[in-house]
Amino acid sequence: MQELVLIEPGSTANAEWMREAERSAIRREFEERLADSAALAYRVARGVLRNDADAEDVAQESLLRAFRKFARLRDRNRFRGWLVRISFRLALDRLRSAKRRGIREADWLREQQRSLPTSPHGSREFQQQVERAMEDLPEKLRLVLLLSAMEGHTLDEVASLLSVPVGTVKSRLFFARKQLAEKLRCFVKPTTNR
Amino acid sequence: MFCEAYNQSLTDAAAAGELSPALQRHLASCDSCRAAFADEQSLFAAIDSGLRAAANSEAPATLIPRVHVVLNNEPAPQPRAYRFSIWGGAGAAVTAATIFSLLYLPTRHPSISVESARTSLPPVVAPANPPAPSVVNSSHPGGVSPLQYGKRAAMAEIQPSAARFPEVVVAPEEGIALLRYEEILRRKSAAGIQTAAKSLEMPQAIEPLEIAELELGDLKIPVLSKPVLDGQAK
Repeated sequence: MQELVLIEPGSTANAEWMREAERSAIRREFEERLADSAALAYRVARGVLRNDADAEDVAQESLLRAFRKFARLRDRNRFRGWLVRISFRLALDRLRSAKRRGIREADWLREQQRSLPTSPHGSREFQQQVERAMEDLPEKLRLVLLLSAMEGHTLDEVASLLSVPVGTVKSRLFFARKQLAEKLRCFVKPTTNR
Repeated sequence: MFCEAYNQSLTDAAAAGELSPALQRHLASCDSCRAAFADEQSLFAAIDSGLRAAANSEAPATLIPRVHVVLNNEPAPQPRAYRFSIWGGAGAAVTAATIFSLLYLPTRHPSISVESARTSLPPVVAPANPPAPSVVNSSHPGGVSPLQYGKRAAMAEIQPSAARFPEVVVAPEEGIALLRYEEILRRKSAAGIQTAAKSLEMPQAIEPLEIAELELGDLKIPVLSKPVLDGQAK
């Protein structure tokens, strides 16, 4: 018995061409977003790691991961928030592994040996104290604090980036600032006798 | 220093950056609180300044070219429609394995201690000639750990192998009657065996059958008179 096979000429080539066109569109769309999102990924990583070279590596890695999974992102308007979370998570992972290696502790000891500033407002040393105090904050509070200080983001924008209500952002910001103030109060000279 | 009554609320107000009308009124009337609040605001301003400096560092100019290089070496991501879901496949496999194990694998009974099983179960009629237990090494029988061996022994005691002897669970009084019946059967069968053995030993004194000769005579059939029909007579 003979089998009849229906062959549609060029169908396979057509499907392949369609797939290739779709891939090219995804790549193009990602590269358009890359220009205005690369700095965001870098800043988030820098805020966590406090090291330019490490932050650059983490930003590159997070952008690469975002590219690999870009097709899975249904709502492309959430790209920046998605990238922020990837970068933050990768930066935390790197920070933890660096801490395990003891590099951070050695840096910290070196910095401790330096003299504390007499007038810390706006000084580099006070900024380092702020960054160090941020490391002790819980992750959620730290990310909100970073994003609200970054690129002049409003509370609504931070809420949109993190996909949480504005009230949540407000309360996290409040607690984060209070905790920072408790840690840094000793570095600021009061103008009055308290 | 803040007044005691306003200490917490003024600290919170400085952290939140919002002052309620009541606090504003108090600050207007209290110099000490006003000065302390200014210090608190100064602290938060310093913190915000440090945060902004930390959070807005310039991205290096090499970052985007580096990413471009990496992306060019990376194959383009597959569109969503053509992507096979690994997690979906794994989930389906786990579900299938679970269903298979529930349907086909024997369920494990909850652990029952031997003593409790002995006391709770009704008496079991032991077979008449129980087979000798297989010789096992008491230290490690059959390479099985002592714990496993204990469980197996308990199960064997509770559920003797059905493959070896049929097992019937009966009440104690019925068990006694059955034992008697079994004894009677055994005696009868022993007597039958003895009788058969005796008969085998006996000499064969059976005489051959004798059949007398048959005499064949002529068969005499009497002629019957024909019946007279009514119509023919008329």
